[in-house]
Amino acid sequence: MKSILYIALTGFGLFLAGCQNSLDLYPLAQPSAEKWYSNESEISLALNDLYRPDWWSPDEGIGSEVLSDDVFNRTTLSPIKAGTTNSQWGTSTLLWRNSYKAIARANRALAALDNPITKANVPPAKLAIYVAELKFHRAAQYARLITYFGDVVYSDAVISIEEAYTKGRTDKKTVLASVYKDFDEAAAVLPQNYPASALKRVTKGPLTPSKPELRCIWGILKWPLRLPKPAWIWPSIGCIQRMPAYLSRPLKTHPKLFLAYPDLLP
Amino acid sequence: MVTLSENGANATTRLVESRNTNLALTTQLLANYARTIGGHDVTALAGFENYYSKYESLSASRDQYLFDGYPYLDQGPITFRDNSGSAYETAYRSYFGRFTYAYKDKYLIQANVRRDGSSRFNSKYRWGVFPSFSLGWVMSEESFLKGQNVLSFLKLRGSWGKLGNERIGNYPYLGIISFGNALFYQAGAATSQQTAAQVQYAIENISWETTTSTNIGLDANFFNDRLRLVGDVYQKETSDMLLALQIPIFVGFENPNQNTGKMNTKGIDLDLSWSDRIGNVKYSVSGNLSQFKSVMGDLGGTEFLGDQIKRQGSQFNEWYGYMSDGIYQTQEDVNNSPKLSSNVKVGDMKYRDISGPSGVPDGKISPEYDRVYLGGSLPQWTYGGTIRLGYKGLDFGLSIQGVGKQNSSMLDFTDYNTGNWGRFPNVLDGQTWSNYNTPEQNAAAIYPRYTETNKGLNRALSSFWLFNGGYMRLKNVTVGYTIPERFARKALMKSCRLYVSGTDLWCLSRYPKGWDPEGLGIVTTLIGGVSVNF
Repeated sequence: MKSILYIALTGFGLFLAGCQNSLDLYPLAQPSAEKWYSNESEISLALNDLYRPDWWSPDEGIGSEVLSDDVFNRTTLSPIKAGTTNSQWGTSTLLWRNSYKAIARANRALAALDNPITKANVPPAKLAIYVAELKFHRAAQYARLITYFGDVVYSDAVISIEEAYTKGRTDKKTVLASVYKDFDEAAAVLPQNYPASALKRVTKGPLTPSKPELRCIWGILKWPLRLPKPAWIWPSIGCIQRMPAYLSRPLKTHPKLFLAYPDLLP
Repeated sequence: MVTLSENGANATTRLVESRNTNLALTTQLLANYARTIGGHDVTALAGFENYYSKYESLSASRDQYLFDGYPYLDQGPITFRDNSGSAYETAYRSYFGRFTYAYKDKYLIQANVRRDGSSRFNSKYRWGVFPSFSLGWVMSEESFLKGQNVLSFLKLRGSWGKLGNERIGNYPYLGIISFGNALFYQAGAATSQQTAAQVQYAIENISWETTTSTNIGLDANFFNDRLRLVGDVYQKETSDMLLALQIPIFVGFENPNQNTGKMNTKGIDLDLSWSDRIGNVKYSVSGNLSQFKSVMGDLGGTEFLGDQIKRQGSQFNEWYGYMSDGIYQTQEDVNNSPKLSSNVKVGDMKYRDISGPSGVPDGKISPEYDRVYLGGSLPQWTYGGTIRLGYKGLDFGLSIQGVGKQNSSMLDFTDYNTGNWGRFPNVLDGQTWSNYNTPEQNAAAIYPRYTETNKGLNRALSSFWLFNGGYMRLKNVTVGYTIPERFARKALMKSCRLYVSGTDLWCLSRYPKGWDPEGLGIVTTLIGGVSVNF
């Protein structure tokens, strides 16, 4: 009798153990960032993200020159023209937020690429191009930030929350120097062009140091010369999705696509 | 689930089929023990629970069907097909025990303890222990309360306990990669490419939020149970609260949930009822009232929720905005007042200069320094009541419910020209400051002028837009008649009741006409019916 009881108990215990499951559950439908960036396709997906229109959106996200006095709406003035901007103005917070999102993602990827597993999986030449592309995007976003905001918070690594509360703004000239440094490093590595069949990603084209006027497209060439008035407004081509294509050609062939409007912003 | 739909004006015939699988498995092992020795009752319980759930979704669709007579996916145009699918799983494990002791139904003691582990947290921060105790004393069983007929039952209750909360999304401690799309130029055409990024800042040591509650209660019945009173006073302290605090935007990630801060809640619940009969009339009247207030302790930051805020010293989701001094009536007043922008005109909102960068009013209104707490947004003093009458076969019931006070915002009901569609709500008509009004009319105007330029400034949340959104609602009235049994029998029925019932019949509130304090979808319903038992 007793042994039957023991067998029953053991059986029941085994039954329960069968229902036992691990509490170590990981996302089923999405990868976790800890394991990402370890091979070429994962890295290129992370790079693709930096080309999203959100980070390259023109004024107020709806079209070119909306902030300038070239564009008027019948019923509404944009807050810049109405003189009603403040820190709650959606356009400025969105611009600030989106630029820093792109920067954080570039910094996150840069940190992740600098690890032995990635280095073992990816050929060094390709890795160098990935790093150059990330640096280009980071610099481009900082260029946009200093154009609109002047002194901004600068970091070339992911900022931890603890660190964020003690971090202040960096002088725009210092930021600009870092931007130029990133651009120069990127231009040294990026290809001159991509094969016709390949995706048009960023090239040396717009960054070549020997053609400094090309830097206009990032608004940073004229800007330091014309202090204190940033003399440039984000170029918008209307056709955002083609943006990388323009980037991949020397600007001289499309001189009219990139417009610079001086004296526009306060 | 299969849906075939035609979408309004852009009518296309679209078929969506979705299959969602939800698996939840709970395994429990319980051991009970109960024993009575003399007047001593002891029970004990030990248990183990394992819970696992997995959710999977799958959906497929095609659009622009030419015929709707063949509602299967294969019959639709291949160009307009779409599909989606996702999955997640969660699990927890608990060990728990309970011990109760009662002496002659007079003294009651209960103790519980549970240890919970959740898959939502990293294995190092996964487990939490949550004890609770309660005591009861049935005073009416004591000899010193025998031999009187005022109090028929009296019980004092007290409890203290901790509970954990883990409901914050499924994988909060992991930096999850989210996918998206970006457009590229390739071989002369735009192509879409998949993108991947970590969106949320990952907080590895995120863990249980704990709420410690202390409760003191009283159950008392008087006059042979005709008058009943249930009263509770409680205090709750929530610590390690899971909140998505605002982190500096330049960190570049979305605000993560963090274990931060404390919240204190104090409240009371009262329930009073009287039931009796006068001759053939049975009647009962009951009412309940509850009130609580939650104040945030040190949070280590701020959570902004639109026009509401959670911050140290604020109430839970307190309104946060400017102090309003009404509408500017003269240019002179405009010229001599601190303003939000240089474009403020007569007829715009006037705000009070509260502070500035140096801690004193700076002659300028700015969102950083001049917004203040404007009162909690949660309902205060919620109440309800019922009246029931019965006379022979007739019965009557009435119930009301309401909120004594609630700070509500008028902004939703007073937006004009939304999306440039040129629509203006009736509430504003004739009540708005205007250049075309006489000064007397403008002095009596309730709302600031119509303006697109300064709309954002006038319609920023301020004390001006808050009103008491308390209400009283006649929730239900029912009148019924039960046919006497001897007649019902003849029709082979056991019982038969005819009734008329009305729900949401009437509401008293300060909301503008046409708006309901409880939101959309509240409609008056009248039902007449017969209920028959055979």
